[in-house]
Order: sequence, then structure tokens, then C-alpha cells
Amino acid sequence: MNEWLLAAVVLLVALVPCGIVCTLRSPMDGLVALELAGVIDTTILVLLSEGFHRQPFVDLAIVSAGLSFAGALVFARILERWV
Amino acid sequence: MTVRHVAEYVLLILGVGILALSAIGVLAMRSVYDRLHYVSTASVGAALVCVAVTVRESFSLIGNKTLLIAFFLLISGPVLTHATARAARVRERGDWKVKEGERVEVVER
Repeated sequence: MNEWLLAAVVLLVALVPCGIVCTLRSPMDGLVALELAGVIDTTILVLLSEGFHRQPFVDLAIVSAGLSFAGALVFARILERWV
Repeated sequence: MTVRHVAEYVLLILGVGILALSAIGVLAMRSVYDRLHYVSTASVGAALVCVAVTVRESFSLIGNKTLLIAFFLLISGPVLTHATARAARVRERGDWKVKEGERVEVVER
């Protein structure tokens, strides 16, 4: 295991607090945790791509960054008034 | 161990540390507005990790793409924070504008 994969494992553990907030707190708190989880997910994908020496896989991180941003904006808009 | 390796490790450890602390902060804080501070901080941590990859790989295929991701995360973090804070306020009070009679602290400089 190289240092990049080790960092990815540490960040996987950091997703646990986000999951706890998403499940146990209010919807707005959960949205904040979801946004943080999106950032952490993107970073994990970058680290895995570097750690496994599969460099084209970094495209997945680009897609994850864009989709988590758009998804969080949609959630914010919906939670604002309708849910 | 060259200077490049040292820079790479320092950036990686800093970035992962900031991200882990952000996750703990989101869990520990009490209100939405307190928690929101940690989302922008996490963007900085993620950007540091991306820059660590760029330092290792130089300006190659993956190096350029990780720089793009870092730039995107740094731009999108504050936008998300603003949108979420606005949504939280509208959900709480019905409108984001200050209502008549609502107490607002104004700091004069």
C-alpha cells in the first residue's frame, strides 16, 4: 500500500461522520454533510487514480466534482421551500 | 528524498488533515450555519491534495486534470455555502430578507 492509498483509506473513514449527520440530524444539516461528502468523494477518486497508477480514471473525479456540485444546488433549492 | 518529494508529502498530509478535521467539525457543530464553515475549508483541503498530485506528476495528463479539479472545487465551495445558507434561512423564516422588527446586529466601521 502506497501513501496515496493510505490517504484514501483515511478519507473513507472521514465519510463516517458525514453519514452520521445525514441520518441523525435535520434535512438541512444532512445537506451540509452531503456537500462535504461530495468533496471528500472527489478527493478519494483522485487519490485512488494516483495510487493504482490508473491515470485516466481521474476523469471520474472530474465527473464526481461536477455532479456533486449540481446535485447539492438542486437539493438546496428543493429543501428551501418544498420539502 | 528530493525537495519535490517533501513538498508532495507536506501537501498531501495537510490536505488529508484538513479534510478529516472538516468531517469532525461537521459532526461536532450544532447549527447548520456553524456546520457550513467546514464545507469551504474542505474545498481547500481537497485542492491541496490535487496540487500534491500535480507536484508529483508535473503538468501531464493527470497533473492538468487535478489542477482543473482543484480550481473547480475552490470556485464551487463558496457558491454551495452561499446557496445552502440562503436555503436554510428561507426554510427557517420564509424569506431571506430582513423582516420588519427583526433584530439585526450592524457593525459600524
